[in-house]
Amino acid sequence: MRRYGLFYLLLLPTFLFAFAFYYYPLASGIFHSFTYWDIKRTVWVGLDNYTRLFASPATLAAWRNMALIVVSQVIVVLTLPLLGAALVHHVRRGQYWWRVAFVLPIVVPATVVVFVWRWFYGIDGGINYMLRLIGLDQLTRAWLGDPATALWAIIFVGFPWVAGLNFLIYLAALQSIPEEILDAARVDGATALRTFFQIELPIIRPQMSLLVTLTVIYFLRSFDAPLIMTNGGPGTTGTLVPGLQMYRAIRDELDLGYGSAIGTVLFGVLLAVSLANLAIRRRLEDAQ
Amino acid sequence: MNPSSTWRHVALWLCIGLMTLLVSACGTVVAPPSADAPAGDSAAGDAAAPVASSAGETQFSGELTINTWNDITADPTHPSYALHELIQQWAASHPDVTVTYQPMLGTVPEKFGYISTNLRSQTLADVVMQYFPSPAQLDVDLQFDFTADLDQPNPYSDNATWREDFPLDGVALRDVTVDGKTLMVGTTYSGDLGDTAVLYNQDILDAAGVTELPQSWSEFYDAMGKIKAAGYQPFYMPTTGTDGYIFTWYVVLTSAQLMDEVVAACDGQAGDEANGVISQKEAIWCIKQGHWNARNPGVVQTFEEMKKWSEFFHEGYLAPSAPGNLFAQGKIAFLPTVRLLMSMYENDPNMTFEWGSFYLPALADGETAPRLGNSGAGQGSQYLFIPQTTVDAGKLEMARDLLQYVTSPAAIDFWCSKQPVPCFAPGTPLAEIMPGDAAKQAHYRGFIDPPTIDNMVSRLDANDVFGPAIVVQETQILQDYLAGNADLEQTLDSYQAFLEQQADNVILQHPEWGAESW
Repeated sequence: MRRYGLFYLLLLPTFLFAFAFYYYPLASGIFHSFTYWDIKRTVWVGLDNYTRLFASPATLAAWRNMALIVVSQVIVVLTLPLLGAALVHHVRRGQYWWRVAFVLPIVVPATVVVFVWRWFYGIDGGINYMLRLIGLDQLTRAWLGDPATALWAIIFVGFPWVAGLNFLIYLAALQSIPEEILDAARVDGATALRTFFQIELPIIRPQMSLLVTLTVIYFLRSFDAPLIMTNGGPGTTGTLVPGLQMYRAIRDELDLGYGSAIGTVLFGVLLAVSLANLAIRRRLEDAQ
Repeated sequence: MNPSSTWRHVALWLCIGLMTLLVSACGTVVAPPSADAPAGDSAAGDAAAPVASSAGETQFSGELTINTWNDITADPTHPSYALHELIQQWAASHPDVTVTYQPMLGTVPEKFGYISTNLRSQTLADVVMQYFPSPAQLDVDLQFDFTADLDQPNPYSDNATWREDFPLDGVALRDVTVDGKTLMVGTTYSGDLGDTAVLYNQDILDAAGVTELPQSWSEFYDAMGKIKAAGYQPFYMPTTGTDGYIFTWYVVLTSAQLMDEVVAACDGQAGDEANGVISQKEAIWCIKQGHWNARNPGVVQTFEEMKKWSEFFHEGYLAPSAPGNLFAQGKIAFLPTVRLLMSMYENDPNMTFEWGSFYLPALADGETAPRLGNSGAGQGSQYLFIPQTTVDAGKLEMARDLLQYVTSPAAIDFWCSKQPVPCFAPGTPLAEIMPGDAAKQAHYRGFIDPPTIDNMVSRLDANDVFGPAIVVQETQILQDYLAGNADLEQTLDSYQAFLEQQADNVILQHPEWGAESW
């Protein structure tokens, strides 16, 4: 007991930090979601914030935008980085340098990437410049100012989405597949495509599941691209997402109670998604 | 470790090192501090002699931090640099005081949001310098009340009271006085920095066949039509991004000309004085009583006018503006701006075309459009305030002494001497202000002519009532309408919900109003 007591003592600072910076703010946020709170004063308003939230057309639009972003990014994460990893995995010569080339872009901060794409989408930005260059002037537009294209422009940030951590995880997963299994498949006459779809893919399913979960959680709560590129516009809900809705309520309106209500709902959804994912993974593991 | 593996590792680290160098090389090269330049963000650099002194000068010691709207040390041609010089002079008189600047970052709404948030969380600097305060920002509990001090002499002045030091009978203090308490001090400079006007590209006007600057609203539309037909972009009107505040100005200016009846119904209500200027309290009363509502003809006309005008806005006005200045690049005929930024245009080497400024005519023929941002009309631009935390920290005397110095008559004279346009009494003819300089007269005409005083907007607008951070919502509602995402009825519904929600929030902020009895 004395031996374990020392370990707990060493873990105490971590618990204190977790309490101070995670659990206390969480509890405070949930409490304040039932108040009008502008830092200076706190006034109990009951369910008013939630009523306002669920009655607001902006909320439905924000969640719809976010769903579109999440679904798109899930499709992306299940395809392009996997394709890139699969191709690199089967390269015989210079595989190391291909790996470096695809992983190195991780060093560029995400915010910088967003700013670069914001310029790219400008009236005189890279995309319009290229369109004019190839004689497609009629397709040029203010991509972030057009309600029809703004959200897709944000979804498109990061194209071709091959490089980065997703690629690395897939590559590691593919490289961990025992050679004997692949040799056996070759001996049995399986083509490369068949081997990929019927042997490699099922084996790396846990990694795919992990990446889908991480992607869903990340895009459920992130709003850096809409904030930097459009501030949720054009209009009231063009590229609004719940995280940005919360951020604006807090930063612009100084209505921290309403922002806390948005945050609490977001937390609930994230928790549900995480628990669902946990249940699915357990079931998959049991099946295996 | 085999040799090829070693070389691969070496090569990898070389790549990483090269990437790091490339990324760091993209940063701004900062010149090493010279002996002449102010050191870092401290004010006690190479200060000139003080322009004013106080009879019983108290020597202060300690640290004094100042939030500044921008980096006031960066550009010697910027009007705010003169304030930096004045602060330097004061700091030189108090060598035991360390003055540190904390510039506020971000867009204009973000800066206002910064001030509001940090005022409430009591994390502002000891002194705050800002532009264009709105009534929504004033908080009698969190900001020092200068009223009593204004009725006492300023130690740096020969006038009987500090209040007499402010030009034009202290008209700029009206904007920052609530419930009889003056919470900021701001110097009104005639033809103030906060003047707005519209720059025009004479070359584009000539090419489009616009022979005269528009004198009426219909002429203005005619001119824009000709400019557009000639293949140019008529009017720069960003509705989001760094310059998004410009759109807000013109919503305010337009509505100010269409809401006279509402102003008349709400002025002097809720226990406030009837003075032609709508306070935040009066405005909230106005909303709760239904006078200021989305279906008011003035509001409807404002929205319809902005929609009609949007046909001539620059391409991509719904998107954040790209870096660079379209007007300086010769692509835009008309550019609304504020006098604070004129040094930037005057010193821009790309502006090789002939250009000038004018003030937009009124919506109704024969009337004078109200001025937005003209201190001659009672709205100053550059203000300073002391958060209550400074008082609690025992630094009030020091902070107040600084403010008394920079608002003293001698300091105002110094400030005026540093401006590209000398200070002048409202109504002074342009030719007297800038004698013999036709080009400069053309550049500044719109900021000075028509001369006005007591021709300010009524302040019955979302920007003044709720603040520039919240008015972004109004802009986005209008964006939906302008883009065709929402029809007029839907837009008005959204606007009504916005007015009501924000009014309810303001009432929660002010339980002392007793709004339940309205």
